[in-house]
Amino acid sequence: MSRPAQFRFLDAAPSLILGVILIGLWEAAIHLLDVNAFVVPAPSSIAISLVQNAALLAEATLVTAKEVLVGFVLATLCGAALALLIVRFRMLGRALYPIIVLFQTVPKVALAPIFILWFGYDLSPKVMLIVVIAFFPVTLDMLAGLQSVDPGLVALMRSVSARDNDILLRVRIPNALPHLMAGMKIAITLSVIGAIVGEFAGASAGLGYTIQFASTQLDTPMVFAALVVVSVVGVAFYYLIELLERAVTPWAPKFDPAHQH
Amino acid sequence: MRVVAEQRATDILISAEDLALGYPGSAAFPGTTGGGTNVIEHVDLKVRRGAIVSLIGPSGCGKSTLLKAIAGLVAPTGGTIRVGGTTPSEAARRRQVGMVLQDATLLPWKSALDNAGFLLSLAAPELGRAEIRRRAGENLRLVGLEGAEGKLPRQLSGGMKQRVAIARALTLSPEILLLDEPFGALDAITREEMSYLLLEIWERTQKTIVLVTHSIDEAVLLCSDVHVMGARPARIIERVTVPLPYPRDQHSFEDARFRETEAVLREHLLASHGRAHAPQRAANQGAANRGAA
Repeated sequence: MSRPAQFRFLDAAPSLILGVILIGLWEAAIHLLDVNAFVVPAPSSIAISLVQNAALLAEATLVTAKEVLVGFVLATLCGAALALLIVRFRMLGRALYPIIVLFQTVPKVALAPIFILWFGYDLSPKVMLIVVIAFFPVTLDMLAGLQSVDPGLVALMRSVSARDNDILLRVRIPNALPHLMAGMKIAITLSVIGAIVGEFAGASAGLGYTIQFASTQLDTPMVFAALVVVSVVGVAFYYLIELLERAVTPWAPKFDPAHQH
Repeated sequence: MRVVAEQRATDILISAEDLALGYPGSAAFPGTTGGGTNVIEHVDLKVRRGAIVSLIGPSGCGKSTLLKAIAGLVAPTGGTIRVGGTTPSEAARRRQVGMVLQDATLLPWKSALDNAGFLLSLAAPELGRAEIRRRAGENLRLVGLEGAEGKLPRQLSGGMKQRVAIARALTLSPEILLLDEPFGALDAITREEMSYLLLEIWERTQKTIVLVTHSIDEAVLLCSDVHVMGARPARIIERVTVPLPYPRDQHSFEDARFRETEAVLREHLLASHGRAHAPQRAANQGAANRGAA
């Protein structure tokens, strides 16, 4: 888990090289085919737009990042709490679970205008949208974690007359933490999508708003510049969760796509 | 000191009479007699205090279910079963019974020491953390894990994990140790080592031990009595006494009586299979019936 730094660099090298090649091809194609920048901008003009609009983008990033963070934390809390309720109170769980699954089939994006109508143009409609989009994977993974305790161990605990609450607190919840972390990683990427969609539906600031505004001005390089920032924000949040995972569940085996055998 | 030490030879700690076990309300075992859901019927079993005995038999003969009944995890559907003069679940509540399963089932976020103390901390939180840790440490030493107290399960080998599971059962200070194919998931050498460890623990602590196993070798090496079980209908078909003196060790294998007992047991097991019309199943029971019976 704690490999030396030069090995980490080697891990990243293949994707870095591929990325540079793809960007190079893109740049070359734009110049060779003489494509207008408002149709598809070259990477170089996106970079120029990034630098020129740095202050504006930074401001928008703060707005969007705040929406993502607040929405994600709420989604995680709601998702985990739902899973706990379902496991702890069986009748409630039996009643709740099908409704949650049913709710999951509702296209959440379609709820954005309704949330705008209900909560206005501020932070809250975006947060609400993120919660409904992102809580489900958290609930599902948390449930799997709570329920995947070895039945043999449960039998041993019952044989010394352990109570359900003890089993939940001392075994099921810690056992669910690695699963919760996996659900949170999915939820954080969904949260970024939720924030952007929320801003599309109605906002006066943020990266989604910037994308929409720039596209009405036919400033395609800025649309792409904002997209780049959105991706960077998403990746940063994702790795933040991964750091959290390492801190909270150092004992759990990690999935590492760079080292599959 | 045991109160009734002088009576030891006749002191029956576990007794089952005409015991029937099953899962009421389940249709998992259709076609059997007496309610239609019994896994085991007409089982008589007596285990003396301080004895080390095994239940051996084909897959699905209900030997694990019988062990679970002794642990109070499965309630009888007929007959009686008494453990230490009371019901099995009451005996378990009094921490008279410690159990070890085929999988160590340790908590991956707890150290070996805290895993060893875990069941006691659930059963008797009033003892306090320090006392529970002291007892857990004592038992980790007993199973030869001194120095590994702080290790997490993923840092331990399969054999070491199972040692922690044994220490966890011993930390309850039970009179009876129940082992359900405890070494079934281990390689041959580790298995043999664990057998010697178990003999050592038994000789030192004088616990009453009931062992479920597939291995004739293991049963003969460890046990004073071997109960051979047959399938369909599940019952105890033979009780074989092993005429080898204790202490036993790797030289016990060379004893002629070892080979004789082994041959007798093999014959009984084959016969039980013949009657069950499932002659091919004896050879490859190993991993296939994890948690089956």
